Amino acid sequence: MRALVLVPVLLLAGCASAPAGFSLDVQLTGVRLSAVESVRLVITPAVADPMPRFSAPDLGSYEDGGVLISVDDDGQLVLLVTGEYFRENAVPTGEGDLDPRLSLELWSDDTVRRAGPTIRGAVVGGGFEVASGSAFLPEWPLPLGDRFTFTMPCTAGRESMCRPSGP
Amino acid sequence: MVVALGSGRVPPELVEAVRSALVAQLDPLAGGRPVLPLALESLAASFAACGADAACLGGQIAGAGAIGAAIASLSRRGARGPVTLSLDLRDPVSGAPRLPTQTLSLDPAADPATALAPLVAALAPVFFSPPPPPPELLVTVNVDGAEVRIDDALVGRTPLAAQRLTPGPHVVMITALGHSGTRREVSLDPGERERLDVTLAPSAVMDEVIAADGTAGPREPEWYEQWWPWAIVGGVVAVGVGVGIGAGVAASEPPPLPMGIPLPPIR
Repeated sequence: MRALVLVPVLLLAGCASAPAGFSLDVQLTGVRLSAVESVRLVITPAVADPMPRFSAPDLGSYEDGGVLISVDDDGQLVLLVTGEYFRENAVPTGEGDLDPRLSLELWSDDTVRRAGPTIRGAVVGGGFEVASGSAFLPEWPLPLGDRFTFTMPCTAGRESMCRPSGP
Repeated sequence: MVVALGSGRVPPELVEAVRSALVAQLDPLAGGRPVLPLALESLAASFAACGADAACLGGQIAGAGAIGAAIASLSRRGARGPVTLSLDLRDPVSGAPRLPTQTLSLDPAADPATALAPLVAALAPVFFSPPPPPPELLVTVNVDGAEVRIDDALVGRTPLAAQRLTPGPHVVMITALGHSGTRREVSLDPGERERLDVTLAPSAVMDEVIAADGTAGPREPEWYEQWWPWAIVGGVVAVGVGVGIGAGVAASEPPPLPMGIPLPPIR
């Protein structure tokens, strides 16, 4: 009988797969896809004593150079998405190329659940910051398979740069 | 209680004389207990009807409220032949004989009291002593659950307590699944405690049982005695072992990196 119980356990063990990570959806609103020159995301660990810091990444460049990862002097994690990568991979959710959304598939090998960090972001278009936003993530890392949408609306007064006319 | 029974060729006077002599000779030895002659013809006839049936005799004695009975049976070969007296001492209920039957030859012309005196003297100590307990038979078998029958009656399954039986011969049948049955004969005396130790040998033939009525016949094999459950179990185990080995091999390899961009941990 014990052997019979063991069999399903082994079957389940054989079907186990690697962690799937989680998704971070970068949602721009009031911004045309073509206006995006770069997107900068900064994730700041939740305040604690001592102040936690992100470790230095093994590699700094992913997605063929489309996503660059670094840790600044304050221990914040900085993700820089190039405009070319954003424009190729983001999907407009509005009319034309308005309101693009880029889904970043991330994963972390953190084994300790922590309080949610802060995420701040800025979109550069035409050499200026045209959209920005900030939010608290519910926890870190996000649960496997979870999805979090981070919205950055067009900054007031920068509408013409967020939605430039012409091709 | 004294019972005197005579056959047709024995003069009734002689039967009565024997009965009276027995009562007279047993009475002083009875220690105050009354020794009653059974004079009623109807009761004597019912005793005679019992014949050799011990239980029937025991029932008659118990029914009369007696602690025992001296049954004198008189018979005669020919009208002028000698009279033969058989004297039995019987217990109530079981009707078991207390002693082997005593016999003597009586001269019809002589006083029966004189002839009976030595016989009564020999019987008296037994006759007035408490009746011995019924014999007991303890059957032990090397197999628990063995079915024990005594005189074709199922008395239970081993382990069994001692069985109270009537004195005399008995046939003990012992059967057990997967073992060869055995038959034993025992003869028990009153008050005897006999032990019968039986060792049943395992039987090579497992597909026969002794049915409740004692007849043997094929039985349906249990599910675990058939091949297919074990084939299924074997198949499942084999698959499980294969999966287990596969899981072990897979576990020994580094897990594949998940899809996506890896983020460094927080320290």
